[in-house]
Amino acid sequence: MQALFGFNPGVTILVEFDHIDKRPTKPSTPGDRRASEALPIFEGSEAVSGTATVLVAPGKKVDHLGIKAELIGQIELYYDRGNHYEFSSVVRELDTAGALVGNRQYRFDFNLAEKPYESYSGLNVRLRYFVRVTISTRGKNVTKEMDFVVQNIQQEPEALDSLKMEVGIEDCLHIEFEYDKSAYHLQDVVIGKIYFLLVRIKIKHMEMAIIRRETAGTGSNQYNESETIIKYEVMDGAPAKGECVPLRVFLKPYALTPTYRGTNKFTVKYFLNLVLVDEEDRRYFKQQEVTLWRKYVA
Amino acid sequence: MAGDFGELVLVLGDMHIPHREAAIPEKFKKMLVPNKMQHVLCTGNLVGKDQYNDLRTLAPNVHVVRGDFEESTTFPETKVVQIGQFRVGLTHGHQIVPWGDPNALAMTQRQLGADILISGHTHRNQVNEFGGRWFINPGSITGAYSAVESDAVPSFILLAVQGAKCVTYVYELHGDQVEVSKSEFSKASSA
Amino acid sequence: MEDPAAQQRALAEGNKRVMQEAFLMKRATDASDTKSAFTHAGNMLKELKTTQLSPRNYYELYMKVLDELRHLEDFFTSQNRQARQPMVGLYEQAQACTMVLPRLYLLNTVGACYILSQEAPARDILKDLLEMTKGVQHPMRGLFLRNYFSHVTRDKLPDAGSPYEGDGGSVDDSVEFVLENFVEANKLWVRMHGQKGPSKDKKRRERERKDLRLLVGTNLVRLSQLEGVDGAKYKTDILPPILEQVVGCKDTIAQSYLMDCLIQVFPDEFHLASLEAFLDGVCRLKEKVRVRPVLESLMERIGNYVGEHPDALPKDVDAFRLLNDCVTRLVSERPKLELSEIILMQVALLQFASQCYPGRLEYINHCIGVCGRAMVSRGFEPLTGGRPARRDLPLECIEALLRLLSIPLKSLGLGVLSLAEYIDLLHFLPWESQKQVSLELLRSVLSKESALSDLDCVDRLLGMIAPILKDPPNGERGDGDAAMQAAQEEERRLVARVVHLMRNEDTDCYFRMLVVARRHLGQGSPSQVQYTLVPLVFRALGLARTIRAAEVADEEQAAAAETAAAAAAAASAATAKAEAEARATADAAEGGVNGGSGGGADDDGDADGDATNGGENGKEGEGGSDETEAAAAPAEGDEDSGETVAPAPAPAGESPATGAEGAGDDEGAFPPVPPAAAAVARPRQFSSRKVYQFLHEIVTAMAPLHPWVSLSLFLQCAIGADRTGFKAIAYEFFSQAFILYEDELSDSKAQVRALVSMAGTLLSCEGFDPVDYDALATKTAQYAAKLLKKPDQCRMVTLCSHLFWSPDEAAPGRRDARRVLECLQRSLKIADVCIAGGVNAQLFIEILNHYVFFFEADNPEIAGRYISGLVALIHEHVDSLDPSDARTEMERYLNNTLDHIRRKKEQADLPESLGKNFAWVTI
Repeated sequence: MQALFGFNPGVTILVEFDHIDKRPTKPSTPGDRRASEALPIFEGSEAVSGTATVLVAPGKKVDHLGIKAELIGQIELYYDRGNHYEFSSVVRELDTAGALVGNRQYRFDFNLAEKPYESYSGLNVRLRYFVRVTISTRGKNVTKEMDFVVQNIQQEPEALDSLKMEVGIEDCLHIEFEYDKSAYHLQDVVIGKIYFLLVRIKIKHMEMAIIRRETAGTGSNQYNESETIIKYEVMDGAPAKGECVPLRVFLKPYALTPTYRGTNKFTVKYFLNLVLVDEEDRRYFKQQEVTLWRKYVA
Repeated sequence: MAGDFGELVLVLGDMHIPHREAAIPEKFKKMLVPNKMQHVLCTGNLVGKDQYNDLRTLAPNVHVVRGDFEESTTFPETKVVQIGQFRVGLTHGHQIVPWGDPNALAMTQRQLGADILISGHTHRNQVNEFGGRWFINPGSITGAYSAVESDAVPSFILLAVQGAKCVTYVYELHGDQVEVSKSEFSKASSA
Repeated sequence: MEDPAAQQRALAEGNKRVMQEAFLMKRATDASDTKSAFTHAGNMLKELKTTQLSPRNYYELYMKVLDELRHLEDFFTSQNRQARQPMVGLYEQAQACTMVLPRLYLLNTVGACYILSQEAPARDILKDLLEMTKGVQHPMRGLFLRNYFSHVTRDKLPDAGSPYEGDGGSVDDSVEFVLENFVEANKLWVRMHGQKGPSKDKKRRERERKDLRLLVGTNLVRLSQLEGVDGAKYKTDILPPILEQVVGCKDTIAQSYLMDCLIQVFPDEFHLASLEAFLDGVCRLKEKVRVRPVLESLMERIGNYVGEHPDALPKDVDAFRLLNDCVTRLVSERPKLELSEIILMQVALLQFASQCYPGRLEYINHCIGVCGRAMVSRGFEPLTGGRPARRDLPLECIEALLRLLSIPLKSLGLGVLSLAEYIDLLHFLPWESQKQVSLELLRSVLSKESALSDLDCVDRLLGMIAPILKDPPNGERGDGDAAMQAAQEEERRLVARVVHLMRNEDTDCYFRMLVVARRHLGQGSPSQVQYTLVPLVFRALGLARTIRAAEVADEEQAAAAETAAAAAAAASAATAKAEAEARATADAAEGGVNGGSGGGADDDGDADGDATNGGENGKEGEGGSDETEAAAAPAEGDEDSGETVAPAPAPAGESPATGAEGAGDDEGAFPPVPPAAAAVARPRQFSSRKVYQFLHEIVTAMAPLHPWVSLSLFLQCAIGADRTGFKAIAYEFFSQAFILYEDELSDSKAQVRALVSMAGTLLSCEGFDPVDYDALATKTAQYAAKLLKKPDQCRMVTLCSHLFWSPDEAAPGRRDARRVLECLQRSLKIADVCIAGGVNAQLFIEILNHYVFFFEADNPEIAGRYISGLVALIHEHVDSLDPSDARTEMERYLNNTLDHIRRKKEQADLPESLGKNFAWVTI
């Protein structure tokens, strides 16, 4: 595209990660214009290495002030465009100033780069990793950014108690529900039970929703967004007093991420929301936060 | 006109139910099944009305004459029925004195112009030729009491009529045994 | 949703969408696209979420979906087998469906395939399916879903002998699963009851609910189909939890249905094995549940089963006692139980007892007694003596009682009469119903041809059938139309037939039975005695003949003994006397009676005079009644004389039977014969003479009401007495017949019929002395001559000519050629005036035949020329007739007669004299 507008300095950069075909990939999130292809997944501790290829148009000579590769982890807040917060940046010099004639390849290797957070793409905030190769010139610099996804396998959270709760409206509805754990990994199955201790409303059905709440910014600039990832019908019809209805939701099919609490820029929390709908479409619900964590790279 | 027997004619009478007997003996009852006979000729003294209804189930043609103890007053004193080439006269017989006398019966036979005269009343079955005519008495099918017949044996007669030929089967019940005797005659050509 | 049109629309739309999605689903399965198959199957199943359809229409839609799901099942199985897709993955995939109802249908579908693949134990899969199925709590949708579970897993339970047994579980697991599904299904079903709505819809909702009952019952059927379940397992593992659910659900409809279902579904031997527990369950049902039908069908099933397999009844269990305890408990715990229900329970119990404990009369008596007490406790009282009911018994109670009473009738027949409480209970019924039971008893007795040989039995039976014999108490039934009257006659004919079942080798006992029968039958309404007493008369006539035969035998024996003794004593004069006496026992007995018949003869003389004077009936009647007394009195004198040697010693005291007869006894006048005369082994208490006296009483009592029948019966008695050697008694009976003829028969047709019988009977009598015979014959001929219509006169006079020409040549004084001729000549004279319509010609031919008859019989007064003359006369008359059918008939008759004469003339083998006679006849 740059060539069309005549700014083309005659140099093109290609960035390729090593062993790309053997790496797990993650489909790009729909609507994310910057990642139109499946992206490779790296674990936080993994080295990110690859090759940067500089293509110079035949018969051209390009003078440059130096070539570098950077691995950058940054958080982007959509409401605050351009103000990116880089929490990680590692630079590798690939070449000193000189002239480039013909194609040339450079290896890069960020073997100790810090990747503490998982990639995330939400409604107001994005946490992304990429490798940027820059050729500095006297005019405009030529750069190429290549995104990748970071997934961090986590330790199983300690104290995996079941979640138990009694809720109700006096003399109307009294239920007790139980989820088998307070933390689920992303391929996990939520297993639960709902006991109906008192039912005096005409329940039409019951569903369980998984809600993601994303909080970005601080103070007056704080933005909260809740998103229902999935609505899963658990019960049809009205139970009698004493009935116990099972709940089982496989999390795998859904686009979930681990819970984020690590940065001061944003948090992502997940809630299980149990909703009872009566015949007049009134909704009675109870949210319960659960921690999601990553057990496998996927 | 079915079968090898020609027309089958059941001849019976003097049941005297319920005056003198409760029912036709079971052995006989089992033999008297519907749709086997073409005619039923009854010498009367059925007494009860239901006896007639029972006869009606046996054959399409049922002829009954009136006995001296009949409840029903609708049966005629005599009747003449044509079966095969035979003109069959039917009467109960108490009107013919002396009872059972062949010459007296012959008067009625002549009056009816019968080739065969069937009568009852005596409670003693018989198949006799007399003066070139046949005189048949089926006896009492119940073996009912009779002052003149001190041991009446239950009996009835089956006629198989084929044209001018008639075979008679006399069924008698002795205790538990049914005894059958057969005889045969033809219509005299002169008549 | 009531509108049927809207229902149909909703159903059609639902069907259409199901078809569309099923099409897409099948396209996906053809392409082995599992994901898409799930999606479209889910969409299809979404249609089952509808709330628009009534149970019946929902069922239709469900069946359609079920059909399509079969494809899906096949697809999963082939994915598993051919594409090596592990079932666990499909099982998980099914659960991605976010809507609970489609998801659970899919899960069950995959689950069934999962079991089939045996990649996991059937038990685990079944358990999971059942657990997840709880997600549907909507009653109707839940019931159908559970039915689907039951349907897809029906052949996949780890039952004994199934491929899934072992690692996949055991029959106990199967039982547990089916039971759980049953319990849950029932809970859903019961919950429908609580569904609220406008009360006007209650009926419809109840009906719709009942439409769904099979969805619950299917589970019980499934349980009954498990191979591994036997009676013991049923008793310990299956019945108790089912009963717990049934009792615990506290729902009337469910309880009634499920109890019945249990009875119908499980084998009879299971019920027998677990009777106690089941009955306990019955007792714990809600009060509104109609327990009677439940018990009824249980008892019916077990009863039939035991009926076919008598050994099946466990020795250690008294099933009757258990059932009876249950019924007793129900009655005491449910004060609101209808009386008819109480009775019907006893009906069932009784039926059961008669099938399972056929010999136990105490059980039958017990059931009947319970009902009687229940009736009393509800304020009803037995109706005896034709008293009308103070309070009407409800119709359903009547019907129930009738059913109750008819059971022992069928099994025991007459045996019911020995049941103490049977007749007591019968009396609670209204008259008409009592009659119905009586009739049924009679029919049963008749169809079994049970012999009535016990005096008490006869007494009770005839006592019980009083409602047939008697007219209904005032008001209960009107005079009745023809149909009703015909029915009544029919009923009485039944009674008449039953009389013939009485029999006993012992003539005394038999006679007592007849006496008892007469007491009962004679008490009935006057209109019925003509039906019920006639058979008694003929039975008595038979008995008289039997006794007489025995008496004659005894006499012969006694005479032989006496002769021997006399010979030994060599007292010749005494011997001669003894012999004379012995030989003529009957005659001796008749001696005094002859005096009576002499009186009769005198009367005849009067009657003769009357007849010639044109018949003054009043005077004749007097003569007749004198005659009655005369006949009774001389018998007394006769026996008092003690000249009879008839060895019929009666004990000094009167027999109970004769005692019971009351007034009859005074007339009886048959004092006991001195016991000294008893020379035979078995003393006979009642003589044949006594029987004739009995007959005399019966017929005389009937006579005023039923003169025609009585006349015939008197004639029967007369000839009966004649043939047994009692000429005086015979004479007396004849006299009675004559009295009836004179006093009561005014209809000329009846008179003719009576005369025919009188003449025939008289001619057949053998024992009359000439003078008596002559008196009777003369009288008969006089009656004939006095008939109103000339043709009748003519024919009867002709008939009477035979009275003077006994067929027995040797009979003394019984042939009077002259009087024969007189009769015939008189007939001809009468015939001569019957000119209307050529009747005279017809009569002439008839008379001609009688001339021929007597001519053949060698009557010296009948000359050949009379015949010739008569024939000529007839020709003259017949020829003058206009052609008609009657004339043709006459000609035929005449020709037949002439043919006969010609044949006689030609017959060579005739006796010389007769042949010669006929030769003289010219025609």
